Amino acid sequence: MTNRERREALEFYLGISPWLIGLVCFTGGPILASLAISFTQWRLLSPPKWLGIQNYIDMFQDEGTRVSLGNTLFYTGLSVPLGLVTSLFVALLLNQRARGSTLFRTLFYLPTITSGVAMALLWLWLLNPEFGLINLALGLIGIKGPAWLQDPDWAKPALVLMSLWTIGTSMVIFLAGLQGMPQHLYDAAKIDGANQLREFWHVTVPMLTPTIFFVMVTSIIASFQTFTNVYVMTEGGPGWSTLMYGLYLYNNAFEYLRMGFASAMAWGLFLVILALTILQLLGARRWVYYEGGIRGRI
Amino acid sequence: MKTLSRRHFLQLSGMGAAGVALAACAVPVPATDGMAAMEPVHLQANIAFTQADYGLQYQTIEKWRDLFEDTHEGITVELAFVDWSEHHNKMLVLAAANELPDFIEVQASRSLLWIIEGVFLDIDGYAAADPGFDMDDFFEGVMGYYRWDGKTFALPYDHGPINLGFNKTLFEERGIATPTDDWTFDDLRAAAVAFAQEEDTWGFSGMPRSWLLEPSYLTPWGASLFNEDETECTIDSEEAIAALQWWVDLRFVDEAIPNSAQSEVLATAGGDFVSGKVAMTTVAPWTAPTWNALADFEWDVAAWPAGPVTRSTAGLGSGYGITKDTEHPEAAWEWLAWMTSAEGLAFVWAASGASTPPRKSVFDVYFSAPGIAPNSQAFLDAMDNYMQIGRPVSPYGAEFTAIRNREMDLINNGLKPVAEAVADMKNDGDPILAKNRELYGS
Amino acid sequence: MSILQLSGGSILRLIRLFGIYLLLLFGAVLFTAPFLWMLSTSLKTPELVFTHPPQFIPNPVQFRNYMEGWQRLPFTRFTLNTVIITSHNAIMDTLVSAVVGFSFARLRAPGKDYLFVLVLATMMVPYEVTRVPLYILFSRLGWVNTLLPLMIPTWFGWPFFIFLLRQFFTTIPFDLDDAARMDGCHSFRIFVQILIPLSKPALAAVAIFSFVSNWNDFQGPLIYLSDLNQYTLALGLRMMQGGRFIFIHQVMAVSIVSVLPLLLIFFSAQRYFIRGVTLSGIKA
Repeated sequence: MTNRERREALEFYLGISPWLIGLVCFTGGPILASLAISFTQWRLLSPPKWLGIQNYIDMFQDEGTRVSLGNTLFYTGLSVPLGLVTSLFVALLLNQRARGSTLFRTLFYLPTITSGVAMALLWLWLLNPEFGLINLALGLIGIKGPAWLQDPDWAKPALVLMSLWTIGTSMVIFLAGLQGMPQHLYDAAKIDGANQLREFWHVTVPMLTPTIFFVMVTSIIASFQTFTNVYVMTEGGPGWSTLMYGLYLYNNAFEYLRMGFASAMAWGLFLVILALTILQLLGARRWVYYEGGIRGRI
Repeated sequence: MKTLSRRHFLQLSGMGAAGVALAACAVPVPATDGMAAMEPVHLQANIAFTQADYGLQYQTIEKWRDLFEDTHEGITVELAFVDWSEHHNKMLVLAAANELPDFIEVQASRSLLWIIEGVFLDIDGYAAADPGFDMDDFFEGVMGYYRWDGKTFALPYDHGPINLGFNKTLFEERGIATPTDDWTFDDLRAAAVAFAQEEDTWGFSGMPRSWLLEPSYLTPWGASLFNEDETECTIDSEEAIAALQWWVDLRFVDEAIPNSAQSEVLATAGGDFVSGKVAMTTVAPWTAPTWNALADFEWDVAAWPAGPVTRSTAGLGSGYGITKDTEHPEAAWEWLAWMTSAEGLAFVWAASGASTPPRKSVFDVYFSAPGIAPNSQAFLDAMDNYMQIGRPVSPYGAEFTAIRNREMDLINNGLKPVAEAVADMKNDGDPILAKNRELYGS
Repeated sequence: MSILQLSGGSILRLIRLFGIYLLLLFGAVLFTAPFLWMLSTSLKTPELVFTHPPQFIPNPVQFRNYMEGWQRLPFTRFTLNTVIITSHNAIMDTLVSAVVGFSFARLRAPGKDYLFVLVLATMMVPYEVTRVPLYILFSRLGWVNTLLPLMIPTWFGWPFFIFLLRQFFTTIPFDLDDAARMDGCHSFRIFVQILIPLSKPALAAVAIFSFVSNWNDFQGPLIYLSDLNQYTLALGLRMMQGGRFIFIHQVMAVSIVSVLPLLLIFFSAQRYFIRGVTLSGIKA
């Protein structure tokens, strides 16, 4: 290490020290504690009992865990790519100085900040099999709409549809990404005579890949932990068709008083998400373009 | 199996190595007074917060607390109001941290679970030593939620049975005789089917579900959800299948009960009943103020109908208890007795009409409260005669509910034949319920 | 890149503009509907809240729902508490996450990649299972019944924000750093003088996200507070909806009031979202 490298490393550790201190003092302890709890039977109201790996064995044989993991994979597989494309599309539309764009951005962000009660009632109106606007519209073009939230086969797609409502956060991230784009690249593209589509594919998309990567990784993490919508709207039904991993975990922890089992579920999920994220980080080297160049391997 | 000592485990789980170091530097908590009799006593009381009436309920409770402090020298009570729907979760966290306040509220649906897990102090001794406290005034049917193993662990502050509510205006418009307290389910069915003859109107709303399932929908047919000690599911009996089929037919054959799609639309109209499109539904005392405020028609209450075998209805409410590790049990008892005495219940709850009182002697006050149901006598009759507690109450019952809800959901939406669903409920539920055996030592 | 930036026939351009606005308008109606429903409900008399079919324009309009709803609980006090927590957290979240994100994006050090994976990993453990241990930790520190558990954690950076800012800082060319280093600048000056001005949109996004999520959080206050005087708006709103009775017209009135500051902040933060800074002039 040269002196300069040593100084940079020192500056790095100084820079991340707030996070490091937070990890050691606040976040790390409870996370490790949850790992310890996963080896116990803990009904919260009475002291825990040591179980060893029994919770993990039970988890593999548990029908609820299996069903909820399947549901969550299905939901994630659909909602993450759809949400990504939709929020990017809306961000592109709203990324301009045109009249009213500030207002429109605010309107599209609204569902992200408004109350859950209003949202839930509105979705009941939209998705209702007999009277809902969605099936009414489908009826106009001659399609008989499904029973959505009341049909075990369509309840999950209905939840995916609902998730598109709260793309506000991703939209803002994409807008920020689009705003940070260096103008000189567009100028250069213009000089080369690139048309708009070429400009989009050869300037905008590559420059936006770090942002797309961020939205992808964090949406997958969030989607695997999805909870609020199913907790409020379906409680996992009909049958167990919308029993998501996050909901089942919550129920185990605070309804069935199986905190040890819930912790084992959490750590099982942790390993799945971690593996997926590391795969994405490794894959990112092929498609994510960092204008600045990357200082590290990932 | 090895049981960790509680203190040891908390240290283990609460903090990583550095957390322990940090905690060590923290200001030590002042030592609590050992001489409770001489020193002033400070109690902490957690109460679930409900917007119980049109007034400000929490201020009424604060007033009653101030009166307590005025009359009980040396005892102060610190009130914490916790959001009603999250109360259970917060208490679990506090219990896990070994930091429950001296006095907490408990909802009847969880009371026995908490009692069996050992959260509460047995209060029979204090009650017996307190000549001013009348234990026999509580309805026997209500106390089922607060007694275990022959001992009393908590006391109710409100409790209500689930009766039959009906849209009087609609009945009169159609010239159909209104429900009476001696109705059977055959009468209910006849009226419901008559209402359903007209487009966009339904006779009844409410399918067998949740904690109502057994007392309101199975017992009247002579069926049950579990055996006595909840170690085995008994819902696959012929009687149970017949009872559930009766409701499924009323919904899907007679179309007298709105289906889920229709029900959802009505829900956005404030619930099936308030929309004015449904003639009858289940009603609890605490629903009355809301209906009085929202419904633009006349309504009333009758007894929950009798089934082919017996008359039975569900009841639910909430109570207060003293936590086992309190350092001031005597003071906490004074406060509990103050809150659940006839005067306390009348002052805080009954006078507001928010819910029916669990003491017989307080009903006079309730009957003169604003916003109650016209025929509130039906609630008193049910409390006195045929109200049953809702199950499950045992520790592993909660786990069973996931399976119960799954299958009932499928039955009520016509997605699975009754016989098949109850067989699955038993099949998947029995292994869970079997764990309850440890409790009964058999 | 903007779809509207277009050369060529102005008629074609108009048609296209029209199409875009139509699409936006359709989306906006869909996305605004819950808010409008809240607004409409907040102005209704209780009997008209649930009519079938529903009434969209309230008649009569009842403004006193706002006053009555507000007085149901000490909401003015709640707002003050919320403003204290939220503004502190938004500032700290943005500042600290920016410093940590900068370090991960722009500095080289042994072990960095592993630490970065660790940052991401802490987002992957569901909150439900760390809630109890975290409570025990804060309780042993004597922080329960104070605002500290709701504020102090933001001094240590939030993984989501660290990752977000790391991504943004990585897109800015390194030539700038290197040139500055040649001139003897240390990392902190590069961060303050070069990166911060270039990252205003991303920093504004982090500030907005932090503000919104803290403003709407009721779980934290629920678990850590028990004195009504310390409660927050979100918890108060939640308490109004909880339990057996819903005064939905008043709940909606208070909801509208509580959303307005968020709207105002989002609206005014937009000036950081207009492409103002370009790198073209500095160095290419």
